[in-house]
Amino acid sequence: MKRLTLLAIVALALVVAACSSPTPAPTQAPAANPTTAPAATQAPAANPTTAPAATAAPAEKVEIEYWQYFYESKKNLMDKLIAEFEAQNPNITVVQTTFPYEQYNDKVAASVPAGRGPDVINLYYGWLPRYINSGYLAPLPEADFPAAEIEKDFVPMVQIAKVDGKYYALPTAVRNLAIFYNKDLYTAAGLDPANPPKTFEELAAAAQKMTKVENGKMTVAGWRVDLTNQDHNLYREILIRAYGGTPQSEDHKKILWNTTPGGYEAWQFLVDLTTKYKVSEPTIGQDGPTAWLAQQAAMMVSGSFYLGTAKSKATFNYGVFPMPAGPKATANFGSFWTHGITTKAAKDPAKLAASVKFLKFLTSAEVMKQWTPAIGELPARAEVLQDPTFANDPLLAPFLKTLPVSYATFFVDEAADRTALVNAYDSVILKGVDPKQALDEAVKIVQKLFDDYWASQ
Amino acid sequence: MAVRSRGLTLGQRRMVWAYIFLFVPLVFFISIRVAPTLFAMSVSLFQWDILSPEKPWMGLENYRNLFHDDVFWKALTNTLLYVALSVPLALVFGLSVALLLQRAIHWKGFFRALYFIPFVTSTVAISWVWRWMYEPTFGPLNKLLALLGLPEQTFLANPDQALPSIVVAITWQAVGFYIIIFLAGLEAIPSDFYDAAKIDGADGWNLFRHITLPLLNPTIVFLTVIGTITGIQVFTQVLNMSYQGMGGPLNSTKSLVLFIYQQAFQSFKMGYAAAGTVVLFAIILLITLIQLRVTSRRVEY
Repeated sequence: MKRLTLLAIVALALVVAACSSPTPAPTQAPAANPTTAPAATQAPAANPTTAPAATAAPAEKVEIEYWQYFYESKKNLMDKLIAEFEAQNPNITVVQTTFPYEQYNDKVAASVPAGRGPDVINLYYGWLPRYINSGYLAPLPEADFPAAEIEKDFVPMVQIAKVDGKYYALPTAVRNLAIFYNKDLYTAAGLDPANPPKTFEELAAAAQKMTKVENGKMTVAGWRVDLTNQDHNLYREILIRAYGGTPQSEDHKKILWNTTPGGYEAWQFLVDLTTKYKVSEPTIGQDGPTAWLAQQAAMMVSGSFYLGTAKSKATFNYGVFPMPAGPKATANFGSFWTHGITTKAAKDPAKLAASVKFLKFLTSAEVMKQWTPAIGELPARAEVLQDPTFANDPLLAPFLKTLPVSYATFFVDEAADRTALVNAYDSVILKGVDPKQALDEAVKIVQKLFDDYWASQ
Repeated sequence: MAVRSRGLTLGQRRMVWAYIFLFVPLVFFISIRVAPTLFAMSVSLFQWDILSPEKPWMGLENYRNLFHDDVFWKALTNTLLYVALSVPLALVFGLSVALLLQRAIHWKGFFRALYFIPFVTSTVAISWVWRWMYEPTFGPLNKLLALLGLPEQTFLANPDQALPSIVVAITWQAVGFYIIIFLAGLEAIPSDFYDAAKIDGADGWNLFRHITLPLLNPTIVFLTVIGTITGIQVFTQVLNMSYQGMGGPLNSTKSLVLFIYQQAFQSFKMGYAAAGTVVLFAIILLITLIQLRVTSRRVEY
């Protein structure tokens, strides 16, 4: 009887432990997710129509699968683009599959052991190291996508997809950051909204003028610092370079945030916004974008993907100005969703040829010209950037201006990398830890992530 | 079947049917509960990257790393704090309200329903309502503090206040369940005991101390066991009440289950996360064993 009871207890504990593995139900997508991207108004859902077979070449029919995460305007535009592509290539059928962002990596992972999955896949660039490392992606054929040509025609940040001299992915569009500002608060503070700050020092000074404190409580932050949103990128790629430092070693093996005086100065500047200039508080307005929309923050750093939200939700006059310059340089953070060809497709010559054709189509200037107005992301080809419809758009131009100096971060674990910086900042602001010591601690944590990653190669 | 069963006695036939009926839930139990748990245990011995077709054998390396991981220890400490704070709090409040409700003559059902509603409400919804109440700039709690002339607090944004703030929300939701169970326990105490004690001259406190409390012992133990097990698994409240579900600020609210979730679904380290679940399993098993030993000590009168 006693043994039976014990057995029952073990069984009960098993149940409890099994119940405790949580079902993935995150309420908030990580920063990488551009769910804040504009909702396109002009991308009707066109059903991919099968092109007339009359003009069919003698070649066999090929079907390829394209996967991306579900984002309505992207899916709809892709349906339309696929119809266009199929009309040009009657022998190729492209099947699009989408999954919710939260499940995307899981779905891909589940398809691997089953031997199924996409031929062409859309991925966040920050995931590339993991996907390349696990042998999921095949290098793009050099004959079709010569490296020299990519480097000549595309914005420099796409080079993050180059591993051992080979490109593994190419994007249609890219995003970078700029400063979103409330023009009404600018005018109210006696500043000229037509003449926004050009350096980070000017930015801090303008922020000070717009910050409002009532009864010792901040009611308007001049510039809401929020590392959980974009400001970890602001530090890593923008401020470090602006103050003359380098974020990572050339081979992505060493974290260099604290190896130059510039890295520390940049960190001190970010901390000073809260402690010295007092233009931000960690609690004001929930988070950066919410505070900005509620007019509790006059300025914030955000991406081109935020333009749509701003357009639909801001109830005040707003504008965007380019990333300011630091004492040593001007830099920006860039990121993108990119298309790669899977190893699975590369095994079948017919599918590989069709995938290459589709990828060429997706990264063509014509597609980019449709993509930018519908999605709000910036064209990845330098020539399309010159297009006057984009270059003269007052909301797109500030982003385009710093695109040539936009750098994409090499992440081995985006969430953990971000958390290290968020915690470093919080420990300074909330616990009064010495800024240098906090930064050193963050570097130690991130360096360990990188060491583990490279050790597993 | 019918022919063969004729050879069995009635008792044997009943047994066969009993096992046939037991077989269905057993298969379900093994395939849905036991097998995945054993599988998770085996995953913890590998470097189980979700994408990589190669999953190298790690032995106990994941466990070794876990024990050297400051965040894991922080999460473990936090989890024990959640239990240590929320269970006694809910016991005291649950018993107090149950005693009051037992005496209520009018609207008994209404009050019972009122206190039970939070327990059957979505935890996510409750977490967000509390999150807004704690909001430092426009939340009602700070408005109330200001009205009373007390200094305003940052609650969830403060590493020292965030965990107790979440404990309050957890307790508020759980207390309805405690009340119902306590009420049942109270109803089960025969009124003769009280009558006899009253004749002997016992007053309110003595009645509670020497009759109510001892006779509620099984109820209290039951609630402690259940409360501890759910407390150890605290997840939803932390995910929804900490900013961006990070378990911050500075990991001050991160629970063990949130830690496991982040390792598995944000960093994709399935093996490492599985090692975390095995540790969690061991802790729950240990606590359950200890508590059941305590339960078996019966207080009889």
